[in-house]
Formats: sequence, C-alpha cells, structure tokens
Amino acid sequence: MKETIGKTHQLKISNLSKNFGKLQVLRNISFSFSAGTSVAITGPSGSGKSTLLHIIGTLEEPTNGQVEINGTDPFDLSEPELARYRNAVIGFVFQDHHLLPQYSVLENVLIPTLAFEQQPDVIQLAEELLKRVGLTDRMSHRPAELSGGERQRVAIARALINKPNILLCDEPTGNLDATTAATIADLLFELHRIEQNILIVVTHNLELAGRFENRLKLANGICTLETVGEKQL
Amino acid sequence: MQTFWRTAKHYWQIHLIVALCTAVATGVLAGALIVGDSMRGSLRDITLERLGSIQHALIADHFFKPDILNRQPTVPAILLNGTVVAAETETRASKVNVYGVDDTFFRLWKNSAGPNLSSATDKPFADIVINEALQNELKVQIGDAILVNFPQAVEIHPEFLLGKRDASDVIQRLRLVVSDVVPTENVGRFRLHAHQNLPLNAYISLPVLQKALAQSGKVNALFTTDPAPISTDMLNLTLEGLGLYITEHENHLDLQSQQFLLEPALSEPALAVTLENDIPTLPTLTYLANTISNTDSSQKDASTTTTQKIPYSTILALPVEEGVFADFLSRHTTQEQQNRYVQAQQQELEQRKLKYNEETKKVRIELDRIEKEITELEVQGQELRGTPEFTQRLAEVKSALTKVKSKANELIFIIQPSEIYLNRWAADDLGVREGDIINLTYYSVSADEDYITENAEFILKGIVPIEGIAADTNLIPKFPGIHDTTDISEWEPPFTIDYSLIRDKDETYWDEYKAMPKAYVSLDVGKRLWQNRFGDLTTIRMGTAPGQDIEATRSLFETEFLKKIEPEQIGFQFLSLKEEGLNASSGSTDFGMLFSSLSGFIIIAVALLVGMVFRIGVEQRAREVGILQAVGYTLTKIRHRFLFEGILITSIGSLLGCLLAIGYAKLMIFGLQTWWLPAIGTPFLKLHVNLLSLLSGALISLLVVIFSIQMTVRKLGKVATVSLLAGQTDFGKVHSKLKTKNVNVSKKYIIIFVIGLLFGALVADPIAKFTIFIICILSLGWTIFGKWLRAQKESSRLSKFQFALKNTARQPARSRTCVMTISLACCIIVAVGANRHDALPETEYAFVAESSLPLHHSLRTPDGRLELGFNEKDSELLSASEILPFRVLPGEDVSCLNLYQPQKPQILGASDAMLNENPWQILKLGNSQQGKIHAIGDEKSLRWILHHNPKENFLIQDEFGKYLLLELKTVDNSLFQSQLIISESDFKKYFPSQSGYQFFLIKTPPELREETLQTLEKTLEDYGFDVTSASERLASFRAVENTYISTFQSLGGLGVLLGTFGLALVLFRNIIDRRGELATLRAFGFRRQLLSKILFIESSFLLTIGMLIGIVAGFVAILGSQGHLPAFPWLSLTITLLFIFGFGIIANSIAVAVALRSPLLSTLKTE
Repeated sequence: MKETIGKTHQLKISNLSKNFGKLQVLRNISFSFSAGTSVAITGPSGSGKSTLLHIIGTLEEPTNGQVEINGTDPFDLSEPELARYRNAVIGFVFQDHHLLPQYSVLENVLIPTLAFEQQPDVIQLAEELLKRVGLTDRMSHRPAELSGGERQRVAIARALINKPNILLCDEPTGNLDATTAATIADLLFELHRIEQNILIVVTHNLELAGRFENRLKLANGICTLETVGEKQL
Repeated sequence: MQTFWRTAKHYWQIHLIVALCTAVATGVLAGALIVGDSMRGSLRDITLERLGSIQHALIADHFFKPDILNRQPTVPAILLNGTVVAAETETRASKVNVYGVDDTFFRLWKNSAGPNLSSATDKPFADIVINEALQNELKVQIGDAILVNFPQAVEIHPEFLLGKRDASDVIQRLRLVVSDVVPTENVGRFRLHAHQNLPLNAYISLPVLQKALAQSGKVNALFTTDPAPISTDMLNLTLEGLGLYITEHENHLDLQSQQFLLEPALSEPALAVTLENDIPTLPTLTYLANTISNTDSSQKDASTTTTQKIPYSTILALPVEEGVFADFLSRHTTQEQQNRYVQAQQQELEQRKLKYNEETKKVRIELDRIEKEITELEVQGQELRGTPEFTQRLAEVKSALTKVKSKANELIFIIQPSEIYLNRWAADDLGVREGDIINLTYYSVSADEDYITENAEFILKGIVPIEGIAADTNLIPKFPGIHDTTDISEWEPPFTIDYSLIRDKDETYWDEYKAMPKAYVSLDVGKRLWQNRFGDLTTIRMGTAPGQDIEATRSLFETEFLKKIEPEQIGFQFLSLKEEGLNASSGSTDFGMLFSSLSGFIIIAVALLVGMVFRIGVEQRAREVGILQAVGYTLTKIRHRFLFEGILITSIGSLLGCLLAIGYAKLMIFGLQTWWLPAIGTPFLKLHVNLLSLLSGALISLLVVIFSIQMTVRKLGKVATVSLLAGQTDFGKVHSKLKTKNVNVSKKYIIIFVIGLLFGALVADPIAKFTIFIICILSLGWTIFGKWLRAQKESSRLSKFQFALKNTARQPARSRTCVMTISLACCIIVAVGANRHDALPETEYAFVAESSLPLHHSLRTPDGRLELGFNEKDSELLSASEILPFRVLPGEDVSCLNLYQPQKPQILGASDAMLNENPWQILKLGNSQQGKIHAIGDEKSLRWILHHNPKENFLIQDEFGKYLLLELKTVDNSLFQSQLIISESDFKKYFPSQSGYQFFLIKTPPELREETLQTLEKTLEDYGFDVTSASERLASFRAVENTYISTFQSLGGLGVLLGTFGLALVLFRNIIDRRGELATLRAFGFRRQLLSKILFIESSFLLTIGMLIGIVAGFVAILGSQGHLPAFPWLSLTITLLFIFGFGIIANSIAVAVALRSPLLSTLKTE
C-alpha cells in the first residue's frame, strides 16, 4: 500500500474542524507538508494538539474538512483498509511509551509487524533500528529493566519498524529529564534525517519546538503556521 | 465509616464482586450444612412420625402374656414378617410387616383416626387394614380379599430333631378382607427398624392373629408411651412364661420344657440354683434311637453282622457314676456280670489301642506336614502378604489344620469305649449280655436341615430290670406327635419312620411302657452324641432341699431360679425406640459434611477469586495508597484500612450468602428429591434451617475470604511509594531479574513434589494416597506454569499466536489464579468422574434372592426341593443352578441405601458350601479367643455407613446379649453391602434361635435364568421368595455412588463456573489495564478483530492449561491411588470436559467483546 500511495510523502489538511459536542477544538485548519518536513505542534493544554495529531494519525475522524495523505483521504477507507494503511504509513511515539512489559525490547519493536504479513527481514531491520537508537546490547531486556529514555528509544524504533511516511510523536520527552529529553530529540531528528519522513511532534517544550523547521501553534482552535526554514536537525 | 461508604460507592464494581464471591462461598458452605440439617431433621421427622407417642418397647422372639410387664399402660401387639397376595390378581408383596394390633395401638398416633378394623374372630374372613404403600403394591381396594402368609408359632425349633419344618407346619396362611387403607404416614409408616423407605404394612386384629397362631392372649411386643425406660426388673417372669413346667412328685420335682430341650440359658441357672441350695439333682437327656442292635463280637472286625434290631426306642442319658442311677445299678448288678464286662472291656481296649496308635501316627504325620507348610507360608508371608493366592493358600492350609486337630481330638473316643445299659426287655430281645457290643443308630439334623442317620457303638455294661428309676417315665418329656399315640404306627414325627421295622412286640412294649427308655448311657456320652444348639438336657429332677419339704423346695427353686434369669438371654429385647430412632437420625451419611467436603474446593476457588479481585481493587487504588503513604500514614494503618474495608464488604456478602444458602439448600434438596433420588431412595426431604449451621457456614467462609484478603493486603508493603503514586503495583508483575532465582526455586519445589508423590505411593490408605497425589500433581502443574510465566524467553520469530500466549505472562498472579481455579475444578470432575460406573456391573452370580419366611429345606438337594414343593421338572431345572443359602439375623441395612445410622447390622451366616473359595475361607478359620469370630464386610459399608475402621474388630451382641467381636476381612463393591457375614457354624452358635435360610446367591447359566427365576418365585410364593438380578442389585448400590458423584460433578461444574467467571474477569480487567497498550496496537494498525483474536487466544490458553493440569492431576491421582485406570466413562467425561471448555470459550468471547466495546484510542491522548 505504501508504494501505491506514492513517494512524495504529501500530507495535506484542508479546512479541518473537530468538535467534541458543543466544544469546537479545531477550527478550519489547513496546511500541507511534504516528505522530509519536520513539524512541531505547540499550544496550551486543551488546545487540541493531541486531537490534531490523532486526526493526522487517522485515529480520530475530523468533524469537518479533509485529510489527504499522498492524495488519499484515509477516512474514505474501510476499517480494515484504514488499519493496514495506518500500519504502513504512520508511526506513533507516545509520551507514555506503552511498551508491553512481558516482551523483550526486540519483540516490542517487532509488534507492529504482527498486524499483517511479516516481511522476512523484519528481525534484521528491528536489530538495525535498535542499533540506530543505541540499544544493541539491550535487545533481550524487558522494558522494566530499562530507563525512561531507553524505553522511549524502543518506542521510536517500534514506530519506525514499518518505515512510515509520517512519524507522529505525542510529547515524546514529556516524562523525561532535560538531558534525556534532549538525547531523545536528537535521536528523532537523526532518524528523521535518514528516513526522510514527515515528522510531527506535539510538545510543550518550547526549546524542543524551536528546533523544528515548522511550528504549528494552536490556540482557541485556531492554528498558526510558522515556518523558519531548515533548522539544525 | 463514612469514608468507607464513600469508598465502597466509588469502587462499587470491585466491592460488589468481592461481596458476591463471599456470598457464593457462604451460600455454598452454609447451604451444604443446611442440607445436612435438612437430612437429619427429615429423618428425625420420620422417626417421630413412625413411632407416634411410643417411647419404649419390649420385644421377644417368642410369645408371652402382656401382664409379664409390670408397667401399665402398655399397648400389646404381635409383630411378624410376611407376604401378602391379592386373592384375585395374585399380585404379591414380600417383606410385609404384619401387625396384630387392637384399638389402643392406633391411639398411639394422636392425629390418626382409628381405621375400620373389626376384632371379630367369628367372621368367615376377618378384616385387614393395609397402608397405601402396600395398596399400591397389591393394587387392591377396600373389600378385596387378600392372603397373608406369616410364620407359624412353634414350640420346638424347626431345626431340632423333633421340630416341624414343612411349609404347612411353619407357614400360616389367612384369607382376609381389606376393610380400610391408611395413608403411609403416622401409623401407616410404623416400623421397628429405622429406614427412610416406605414400609409395606398390614394390620390384623390382635385376637384374629392370636387365634391363627394359637397364641391366645399372647403377644410378642409391648409398647409404652412412658419416657422412663423398661428395665429387666419390671418383668414378672414365670416358669410358664418361660415355656417351663415343673411336675411335682412325692419326693422330687421334674423341671421340663415345652420345647423338649431345656435351653442352656434356662438349664444353667436351674442347675446353679440347685447347687447353691444343696438340692440334689438328676439332669437327664432323652433322645430317640432309630435302632438298637447288637454286633457279633467274634466277627465285628471282619464285617459287622447284626442279629437283632429294636426300632425307635427312647434312650436316656444320665449320670451313671454316682447318684440315684448308680445306686440303682449297684443294687442290680452281680459280681459275675461285672467281671464279664471288665473282661470284655479289656479285650476291646487292647484292640482299640492298636487302632488308636495307628490312627494317631497318621494324624501326627499329617499335622507335622501342615504345620511345616504353615510356617513356610508365614515366612513367605512377609514378602507375599496381601496377594490373593497367598491368602487363599494360607486359609486352605489353616482349614486343613483345624480339621486334623479336630480329628486328633476325636481319637480319644476310640480308645475309651462308651458304655451302655439296656433294660431287661431290650437285652432279652437282642439276646445280649454284659460285654457285648451294642450299636445305636439315630437321626441328627445336618447343616442343610436334612435328617442324617448317625451310628454309635457301645459295650453293654449292665442290664437293668424295669423297675425303680428304670421304670420312671416321668423323666421322659413329651415327644410331640409321639407321646399321646396309642400305637407306634400312629406316630407322626417330623422325620421319616420306617414302619416296616416295627414288630408286634414293639407295639406290646409301647402299650405297656409307652416311651420308657430301653437303654441308658452316661450323661457325658449322651451330651457328646446328642447335644445341639438348643440344649443338652431334657429334664432336671430335683430332690428336696435340706430341711425343706417338696412344696417349699419348689417354691425356693422357683424364686431363686427366676431371680437368676436374664431376660435378654431368653429372647427379650428392651428397646428405647424413640431414643434409638432419634440417635439413628444423625444419619449414616452426614450429608452436611458430604456436601461441605464436596463444596470445599469451591470455597478455595472463591478464596482465590476474592484474593484476586481484591488485589485488582488494591491495584486500582495504588495511587491512593501512595498518597496515604506520602502524607504519613503508616503501612500498618493502611493495611488495616484495607482489611477493615474487606471485612465490611465480605460481611455484607456473607449476610447475603445466608439467603443464598437457603436457596442453595433448597436447590440441593430439590436435586436429591429428583435428579439424585437414588441417593436417598424416597423423596422425604424437607428444608430444615438451623441458625447455627447458617452462622457457622457464614463465619467459616468469611474467615477464609478475609484470610485471602489479608494475604493480599500484606503484600502492599513491598511496593515503593513512588511507584504507587505512579499508579503502579508489583502484584504479579513480570520480574525478569528474578528469572534465575525462580528457576532454582521451581526446581526445589519440583523435588519436593516428587518426594511427595513417592510418599503418596507408600501410603496405604487409598483416600490419603489419592489426596496426596492430587495435591502434588496440581501443585507441580501450578509451579511449572508459574515458572513458565516468569521465565518467558525471547522468541526467535514472534508470531501472532506466540504474541497472544506471552500476554498471559503480563499478570502472572492473575493468570495463575485462573489456572488454579479451573484446574482444581477439572481435577475434581475427572477424579470423581473416573469412579462413576454407568455400565451394569458384572458378577458371577445371576441372582440374589431373599425370602420373607425362612426355608427349612435345602434348595441344593432333590429331596429338599421336593419338600419345598418343586416338581421333578423344576427340580431338574434348579439342579443346573448353584444355590448358596445364607442364614439371616434380622437387623438394619448397613448399605448406602439406608440413610439412618445403623446400630444393629443384619448378619448373614454363610453356608459351608461357599467357604472353599477366597475370601470366604477366612470364615472357616476358628478363633482361639472366646467371643471373637471371623467376619466379612463390605469395605464401603463399614467405612462410610457404619463409620468403622475395617482394620479394627467390630462389636455386636449375640442372641444372649453377650458381646461378640467380629474380626473383619473386607470385600469391595460386593453384593453384601447391606450385611455382615459370619460362618454358618458361628451363626448357629451365637444366634441359635434363628432358623432356616432367607438369603440366597444363585449362579445360573444365562439361557436358564428367566425360567429359573419364574420357577423359584412361583413355587416359593408362600415364603415370599423374591429373586432379583445380582447385577441390578449391585447397580442399585452403584446408583447411590453415582448419584454422589453426580452431585460432586455438579459442584465441580459450579467450580468451573467460578473459574470461568474468574477467567473472564481477569481477561476483562487485563483489557482495562492494558487499554493503553491495546490502543497503541490499534494505532499501529492492529484491527479490532485481530486484537479480539489475540485476547481470545490468550484466555483460551489459560483455560486449556488449567483444564490440562486438572485432567492430568485427576488421572495421575487415580492411577497412583488405584494402581490402574478403572473402567472409565470416557464418553460422559469427554462430553463434560468439552462442555466446560465450550462454556469457558463462550465466557471469554463475551468478556473480550464487552471489554473491547469501549473506545481504546482515547487513552493515547496526553491531554
């Protein structure tokens, strides 16, 4: 599916609104990003950052407007198609890493590959990813044996196992100390540079947000896009 | 408290589950106890109902006048067993209680209106009242005629030489008209022995029955409503009442019995009184010789040649060395006669010595051989003990030893020739003189109640004139059927008379002297030859006491004699019917304990479940605990807080459980009245709620549940406050760091379990062995599973299936609890189910037959069958069957078919015919210890109904009220679950008054079975001969067992239900706990369907593992305890297990569907 979607990695949001009952969280938001773009979404608590991220990640449907990824509106797909689509195109990293404690680091990384037919080289790929995130010697460990930063690295490796076009991160450093957070951010940017995907990160951390070339500021449901050109990634 | 209610409200779901689980535990346990109460209460109700206001009874094996009891008022009655036949339809009912009663009897039941029972004895057909149970059996209506057979009252025991035993003599038949039918309740339920089944009762007017039995004014039972027990000193015993009479002569008294023989219980105290009061006595024993003949002494060693025979003569055995007869002899014996005798005696002695030495040598060789073999066997016994072959051989050899020893004892009589005296008439008739050999032939009664002709040889010591004591016919008691005839040809004795032997001179002698003895032997010789279980004396002649005249002596004797009589020894029984009945109501099977035991594992399952649910509750509130710790609450205080909550919640649950208990008990009682009816036989159960049982059940389950909560709460301290504040607990979390240590611990456990198994293998008790095996295998299974959960290895290639399996390790404690509960329930179902026997059991015997009235002729011989009324063709048919007869001592059924606690077991006397096979040979062994005999009992009846350790001796009372120890050998699953069995010889010795055979085992070729059954039942109809299939009889015992098993399996099902509920709960809770993880998976493209599949595999895996552990444990425990797998009801067990699996799968599916219904993805949001 990834191949058919195209290689331009285009994300286009048009007039997107989201209501929760009478509360309008997002209002007529529109933007467009292409492959290799990194975006930070910032804003105060309750401004709809995570909601926007989830809509981009096809976890939630918008009330109005359209989401187009590589020319396709994923919400037009059937439930199985959407699941496959999400598995192939989108990677997620959450604040709470949601690693499965009963599995080893390597197994946790491999979990997204279980949703559909596994490629034969997934283990090699997973090991490579873990090498990239610096956890080569921790592959057989369980999450309980890792530090917070290490767990988040595992979550990043897991998000990248299916080589997603879009990597969505929801407060990936929210639970980490400053040093570890910086390390994780460095890792994200490093991998983004290599993978050339669209990296979208929700964060409260203005320092981290300052490192992104695009910043979407959300306030009262209104989105303001600030593009600062290519930053040091 | 306010805080508690708020907390309880907030976490209502968890609290509700804990309360409900506690309610289930209380309901099951207290309900089980209530079932026990209901059983006891209902049995008690039946006891009170069947006895009315009767408190005590005086019962006798003979008839007596009601005024014998010095207590009024009493209610007289005649209690008999009989058979009843509907005259028109010929429908028959056996084992009917035939009661001879008057109006006072019916008034013993306050609520019973007296039925329409006329006491008129002059009606052509007198009235009979029957109860509804008998009416249903006979299908008769009021006004219909019925025939009632019952045993005839006889003075002389049928098995004595002079006793009558033909059907026409021992069975009385009355044609009566049904005048009323009473319900089978109150008086309609009256019976002496406690049993829950409905009795078949028939009530005949007392005068009518007395007339039929020729026992005018006499009864065999008296009842009182006075709570004070009847004691022996309340009996006004008289000689007449004891069947004795004294004939007074000028200077002596003759004590004789209407039963011909003076039974030892009477003769012994009589002799003791005469001894104590210096009353001179002459005890004598009269017998009837078939022939007296002389042997030609010159030819006797070559071939016995008789010259003359005197038929049918009375022989008198009496003391000859001293006393009146010795004096008489000395007066009438010349020196020449004495010399002749001495010379002949010496010659005889020499010859006998030679014979004795020869015989002794043979016996000694045989004795040595057998004793050597026994020694060898006993040495081998240390290695071979327990094998059936060894036991059989040992029994054979010991039996042979007994025979040889007996033969050795008899040798003494070879050496010492017995002496005989003839009266002048007989001596002249035979042409003999002192020193001649005299032969006597006489009848004795064989074990099969056949008359057999015995022979005895004597040396004629003296010839006495017919005068003085030798002409005293008063010493001879009245021979029934003989003494009052004018000619010998008119004799009507019960045995066969060869009238061709009777000569004119014999008739002349009869005319002149009647039954005057023609020969005299010493009392010792007489006793050796003719004594039997009914007595060894016929007359005790007494002189006058010193300084007393005959009147005073008689008075003295009677007074002292009656003082010495112990009523129990002469067949009286003092029964505290109400007290004994109420004691028996405690029940042979404590259903309360039974159901409690059966429910035990449910309590454990509930405890596990409650522990788990409470743990979930605590986990839910981890942050609360963390905050409390952070603000300074001590750990102890927090624990107390949780414990307090737990106690309050479970107490509420427990109260709720009390209501549930009543419902549960009602359900169980309903089950026992319907589905499980074979366990109780009759639907008589009513709910009896005992507050104490309710509270006990509630308290016990509460304590178990609180203990489980306490164990959970104790673990709180192991979690760091920071973790708690983060919402984490370490209850059962995966600890990979402990992996190595856990593996070691598991190994240690495995070694312990293996040692446990080995120990179990050595334990002899099958139940203990079974329990040890179950505990070991289950624990081993749980430990291995626990180890597996904790030591998950990294997969080389992760698949969806492996992914699902590994998920079970996420919450190992929860997974383990589910597996434990399910395996426990499955193990119970398998282990119990394995003992279920649905197939009709096989036995080598075709039939078991019981006869309401005893048979006094043998079914094993053509003659016996002829006497019993079988024609030649039927007799031929029966000759193809092997019929083993048993004597029966009436008593209580000790099988599982009787719910009352039996106190006086029915005893069978096994005939010699069956004592040659194992295990019956044990009964042939004599016992050197007085009052101790061998017996056989069914293991299950002894253990579970009589509540007796089969390895210990069992105590019963013999007919004389003396204690008798039964040295038990057990048989399993036998046809003899209702009785205890002793040998016939012991039976006759300790229960001499019982006569005939009433229980039979019959081996018949399959093709002749139906015909044989019909023939036996038809021909022996008057005896109430009931033939049932031996397989069906075994099946009836097994039905009870199977019913218990069904009950247990049902409870096992409840356990599975709880286990499955636990599994579903765990699954549900796991899903809630893992919502974040599951949402992440959804984010990664896992479809809801795939998640459901993974979760379903996960829970099904737990279900499968739980079932597997349980099934393996069940099988291994059976194999270990029984040494083999019994014939297994594979089909029903497989269906049950598949049903359990299916149920578990459905429950899991529902849990998954419900849990995944709520949106998962929202949990991923950080805001």
